[in-house]
Amino acid sequence: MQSAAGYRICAGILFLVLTSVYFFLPFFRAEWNSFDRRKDLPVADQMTLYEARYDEVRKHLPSHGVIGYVSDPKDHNEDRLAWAFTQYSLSPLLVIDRSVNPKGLDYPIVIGNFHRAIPGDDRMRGLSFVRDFGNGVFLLRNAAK
Amino acid sequence: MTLLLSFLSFLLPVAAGTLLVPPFLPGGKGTAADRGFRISLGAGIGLGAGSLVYFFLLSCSAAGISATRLVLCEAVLFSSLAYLAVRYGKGTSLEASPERDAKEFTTPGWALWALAALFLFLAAGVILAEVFLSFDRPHGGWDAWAIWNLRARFLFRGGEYWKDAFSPLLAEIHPDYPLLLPGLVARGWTYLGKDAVSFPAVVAVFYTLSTIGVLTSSLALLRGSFQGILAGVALACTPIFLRHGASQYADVPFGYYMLATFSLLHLATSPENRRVLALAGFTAGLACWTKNEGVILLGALGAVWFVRVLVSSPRELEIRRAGWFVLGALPPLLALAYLKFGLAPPGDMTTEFEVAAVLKRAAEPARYLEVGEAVIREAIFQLHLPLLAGYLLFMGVSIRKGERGAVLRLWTSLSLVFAAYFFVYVITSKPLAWHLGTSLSRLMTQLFPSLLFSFFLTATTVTVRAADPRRGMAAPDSGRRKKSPMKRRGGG
Repeated sequence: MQSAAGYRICAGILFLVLTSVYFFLPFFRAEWNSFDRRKDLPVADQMTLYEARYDEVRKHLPSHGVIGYVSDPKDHNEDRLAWAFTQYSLSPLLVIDRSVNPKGLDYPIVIGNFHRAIPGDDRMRGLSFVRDFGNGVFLLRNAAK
Repeated sequence: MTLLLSFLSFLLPVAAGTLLVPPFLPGGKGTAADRGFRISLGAGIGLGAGSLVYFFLLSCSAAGISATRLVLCEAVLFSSLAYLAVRYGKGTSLEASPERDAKEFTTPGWALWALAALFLFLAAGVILAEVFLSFDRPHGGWDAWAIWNLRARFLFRGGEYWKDAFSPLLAEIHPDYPLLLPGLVARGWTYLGKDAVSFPAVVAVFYTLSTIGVLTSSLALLRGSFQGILAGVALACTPIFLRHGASQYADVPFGYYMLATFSLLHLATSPENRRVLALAGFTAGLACWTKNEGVILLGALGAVWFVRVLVSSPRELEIRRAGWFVLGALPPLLALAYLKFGLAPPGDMTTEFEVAAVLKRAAEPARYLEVGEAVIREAIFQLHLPLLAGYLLFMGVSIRKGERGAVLRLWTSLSLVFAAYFFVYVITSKPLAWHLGTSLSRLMTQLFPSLLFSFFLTATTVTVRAADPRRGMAAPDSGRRKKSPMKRRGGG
């Protein structure tokens, strides 16, 4: 009886340990390979690259406060990602997307973040270009304010 | 230099926490399980306190905090606390283990050594995997940079305008979310003097490892080293836990404080354990200071405690115990109250709450099915719960008589938290599929360490066989003993 129970317990322990390791090893190998591949790549991650886009324009922005944000139309996820990247890169400035929050229309300084083309629709109404920083990044001014 | 300063920013609170925790805990000193528990628990408690201190200093200052001021304040505070703990703190005497009338199985000593070696090997693998994941996404996942690290940047870079982090204009990034993680990251950046990308990643890895540490050591204390290490292996080998750990989200730190609360409450079995209860209250408070879900945890614990008060014969004793718990939770809860009522705008869960719409959604069976299906998928394919069920089939259930009430309360609290999460999905005003897809995995990961803790307290315990010279027969290992049976057997 003791022996049968002993075998059962050993089997239970082995079952848990081996299946756990079985799930861990492929995960570890995948992360190892991903790290190995990344070493050979010349580019940084997406966020670091995105932050670098704003290096120049940041010098022309106030150190705090609120600025507007305008972008070219994209699908919803891509649009929110672009705004969130910009907000993260330019914090502690509050970056208000004019196409989402109407309060964004109230602020005189506006950052333009265009990936495909400069839109010609309502988004650009009342805005004038101040400077082109390349890579689709523009400093704009809200002429009405 | 960054590495050295990062280390220093961890050193003060971690050392103070590790020194401060022992006088609050029952049990003896000296075993690896004891030391492991005190270090992994003290470290998280110290860091949580560091986040609170940073927030307090920030709230008291008009123009942000300088590194010198922060280091000085923390050095005075943490050194004083550590000194008081060492000077006046007396660890309570060793508690008698609950009656061993439950089934227990013993294994030979070499099995423990083999399992411990595997665990160390896996721990090294976990650290490497976390480093690889952090290199892959140094800024963390979406919510890490869009919410947690962004708010840390506001606190650190904002200077006198740090309160802009709570502007209603930023409603999209949840300015009402608690500040443990952003505060901790901003605090570290203040030490470094720059917002180094690596620091939040270090914090993330730290909490991941500490969670494994608390799970392993608490179970080793309660059920012996073998059972503790088995649980540690199960957690360390769960890829979704490791991925979320490296993502720099607040879910793994929240899971850590939830697990710490449950393990401390389980240790506070005797009525005299006022200090443990106060410490459990503090960790529960830190869970609230980490994520809004902390309120659900407090609610679940409160409900279970209320029932316990109703059914227990000396009610005053239970009420007094609850009082110590609440006392411990006060510092983080006061900070949270100031954040919620004094700084941040109302959260989307409250502003979007409409009773009629909620009742309508709650009456739709299809929503329950959809949430249930998603939960089952997550439980099977990400958390691998069928493995635990298989393990239980082999081992059977056996709870020690003296702990049956405590284990039942643990399962009930955990089930209430899970039920609340489930119901929040059912009534959410957001598109259900999107809400499930973006958060269910994280919420299940929060619960997973505590689930493993409850599971290994419930499954039949496996202990290490040690020769008992008096009776010439096997004696089971106990993590609470001053000397491990392995040592008494001369390492054999």
